Amino acid sequence: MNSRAITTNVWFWLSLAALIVLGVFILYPLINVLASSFGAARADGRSGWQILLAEPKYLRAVSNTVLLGLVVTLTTTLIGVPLAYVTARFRFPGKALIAILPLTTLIVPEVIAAQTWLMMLGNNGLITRTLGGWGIPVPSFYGWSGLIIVMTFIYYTYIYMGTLAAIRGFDQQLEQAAQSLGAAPGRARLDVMLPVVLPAILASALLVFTLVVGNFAVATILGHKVELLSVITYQTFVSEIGNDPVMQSTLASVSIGIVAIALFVQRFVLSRGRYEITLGRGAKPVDIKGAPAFALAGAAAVVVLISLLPLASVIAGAFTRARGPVMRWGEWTTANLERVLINAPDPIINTLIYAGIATALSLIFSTGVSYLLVKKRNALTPAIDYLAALPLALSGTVIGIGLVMSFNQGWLSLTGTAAIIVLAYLIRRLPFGVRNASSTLYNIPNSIEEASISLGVPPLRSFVAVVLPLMIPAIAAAGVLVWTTTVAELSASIVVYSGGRETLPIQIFRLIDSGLMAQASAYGLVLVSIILIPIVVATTVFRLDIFGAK
Amino acid sequence: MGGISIEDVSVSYAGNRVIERLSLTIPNGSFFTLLGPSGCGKTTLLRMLAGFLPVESGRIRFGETDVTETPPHRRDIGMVFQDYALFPDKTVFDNVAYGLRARKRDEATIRRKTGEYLERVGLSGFEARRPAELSGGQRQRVALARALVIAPRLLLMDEPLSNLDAKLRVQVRETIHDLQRESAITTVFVTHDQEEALALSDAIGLMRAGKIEQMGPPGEIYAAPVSSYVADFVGAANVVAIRLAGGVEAGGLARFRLANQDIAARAVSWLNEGEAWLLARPEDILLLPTGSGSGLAATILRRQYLGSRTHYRVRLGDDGPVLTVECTGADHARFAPGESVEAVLEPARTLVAPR
Repeated sequence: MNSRAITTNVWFWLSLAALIVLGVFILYPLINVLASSFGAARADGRSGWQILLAEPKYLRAVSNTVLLGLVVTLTTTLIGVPLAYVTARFRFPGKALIAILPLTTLIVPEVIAAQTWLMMLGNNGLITRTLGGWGIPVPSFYGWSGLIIVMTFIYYTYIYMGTLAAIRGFDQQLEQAAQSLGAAPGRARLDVMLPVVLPAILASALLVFTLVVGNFAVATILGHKVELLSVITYQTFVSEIGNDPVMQSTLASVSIGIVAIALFVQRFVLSRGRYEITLGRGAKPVDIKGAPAFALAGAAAVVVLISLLPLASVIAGAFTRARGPVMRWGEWTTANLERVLINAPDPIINTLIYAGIATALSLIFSTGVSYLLVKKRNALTPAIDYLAALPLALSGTVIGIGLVMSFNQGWLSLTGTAAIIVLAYLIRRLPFGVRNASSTLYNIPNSIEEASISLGVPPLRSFVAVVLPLMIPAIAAAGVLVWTTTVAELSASIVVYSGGRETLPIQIFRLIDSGLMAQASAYGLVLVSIILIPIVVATTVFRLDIFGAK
Repeated sequence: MGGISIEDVSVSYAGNRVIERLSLTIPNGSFFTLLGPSGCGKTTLLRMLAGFLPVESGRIRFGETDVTETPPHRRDIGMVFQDYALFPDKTVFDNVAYGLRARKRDEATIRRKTGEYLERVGLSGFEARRPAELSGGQRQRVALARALVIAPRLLLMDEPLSNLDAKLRVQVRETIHDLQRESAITTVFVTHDQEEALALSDAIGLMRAGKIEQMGPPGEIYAAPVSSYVADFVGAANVVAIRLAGGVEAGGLARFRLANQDIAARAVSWLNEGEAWLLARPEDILLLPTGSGSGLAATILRRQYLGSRTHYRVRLGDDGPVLTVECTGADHARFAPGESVEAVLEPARTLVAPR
């Protein structure tokens, strides 16, 4: 066997190892979930699917979930697309504020967003009571209205960012070409820009739909009487522990199916109009003045203010005196923070340890996997590619249930350990890490590595000497993003965690459930700081382009 | 003795046979160019010499050493890439010193040699810069110095000039030419640009679909192409379908009719009677005013004045083939469109190739 065959084989064996790891921790749990939904192990002998079709509660949950997904996708598009267009094409007073929008979604975890909206508009909320005191009745925030409003303001930034990038990359010459051919400016924009920007809008819309369908925190806290799939799945899981996991896996399979159908529809729509989009020079923003400028600035300001509301409320809530569930607005105290930092810091410590380990492992694994995917393609890499992207289509609840079902006992018993929480974190953030590292690697031409090899440095050392240094800034930026999204993770960790291993989001969720908003806010403020500090340090001290990495 | 030899080599890429049983010897110290259109296999052949692509069958020898199984980092090659492939995070000095450091030379030697080669490519004083602070031409000079400073057994260049604009291309081309002649390092140069190939090479291998169609010094490739493909690729050529009345031996004069007139041309190889190609370079056709009596009757269709020369499109006879003719010298633009002229195709400079 010659030496080249050996080096080829090193990559093959590494690919095989990666494939096995992914197979065990992603595919095997998924198959477990899907398979046990067909089991007929219940006392009455019906399979999960028979029960699902027989009980209206479950069917309502499915239709409610799809409906909520569609409505929120629509509302976020209606806010996100115009906002992106206006930001890309115009200059108006106060525009700089809009630039911080992506940050708000990132630094305010969903559970805190839901909580703070409740603190304002819930039955005991500040706004509800103030307006009520003036004799203005405020409709209940629980149910559809709360779900739609909160999810809209959490998720519209995804549409905004996706569309903004597409409009900025849109070659203005195409628009000018259309105008030169006699199309009116508005018409030209619609005719030429829309088809080019549409794939980006569709992709981010699908992302939002997936996130809404999988959303656990907002759905549970605000859903109330509206049955939703993720809530019912979680409740079934909690009540089925120790019993046959039939219903939880059936419900989990349904949510997988909904996302799969959405993915399929998106692929179908995009494949009908396949064209190459060449990124060109985007148009320069145009100044606008007078009444239109005020109208624009006003509308943008409303969006920004609403987006910042959770942040402001969590800070206020953390420093507000509370007696049990009653917030005494206007009376300030540091007792809440003292309590969470000194008396009960366990959730903070747990979060730091678990997320720290998960982030480090995630960076190492996704860098390695991406290197195989981009630079060392072989017969196994397409399978690795699919498996690594699979968690995108799975909600946190589904991933959590799959892990508990698969590693509850037997050869690898992880239930009750910290390892299963770290594993849940890793799996949920894997597609993100891999996509990030891959795009960096695609931008590093093969010739650089080959130049090093041609100068006499063996392949592996060449990678370390010339490729890795070029990846470091991107890896660091990805690290910050993986960290921020991992410390905020709730839906998978709440399924797999065990007593004493509460993380911050889990603890906040439990406190909200008990109505202890002040303490929840205090933990929330700690969580936001844990998220915000690395971002601030990375962008100001190390000048990393974190949002460019996304 | 010595030289680079490729013996009966086949290469497949993604299931396709890209190089088919190719053999080739490149003498020590010579500058060899692989010329051909994209997809002809020239880059594949180069990457195979570097060791980045495995051969399916056959041997590769650098002198007496069989390197067929040797991985690239042990082949002692220098490589210059189309996109320069400089290490963007390293300074110019560190880029050039990279190969010497890999060879564990002592620091004093590294300093001396790196300085020497940077001076040779005209980049003394640029040591501390990073690639992003250099122009395209400067970057390619750094890449050249980096590949040459290790005094490789074989220098490989993959379209190193194609990312440069026309003026820089000529400058860097001269640098490459001078450095290679000075160092006498055996060089394989890949390009699709015939002018580069003609200007730089000791020998050119013109490739077509994974095979070498013709190999020889630039003058031979240009003046004596073996086929219409070579004639058309190296320098423009008028290629006209003709019918031979009888067979001709190689180098002999073939006689045939063109636009209802008798004409003769040199056969590039042994030809049977029947269909053949007539090859005539635009600059080898002479245009004379009507009545000179020595050429074929023709009409000017179009004229393009290019300053130092004029290009004409000329129809032979009334409905014969249309040829491109390049005229230089005094009064090269004297014929007007619509004018009747005579076109002289001199038998010695006009070729007939098999179809």
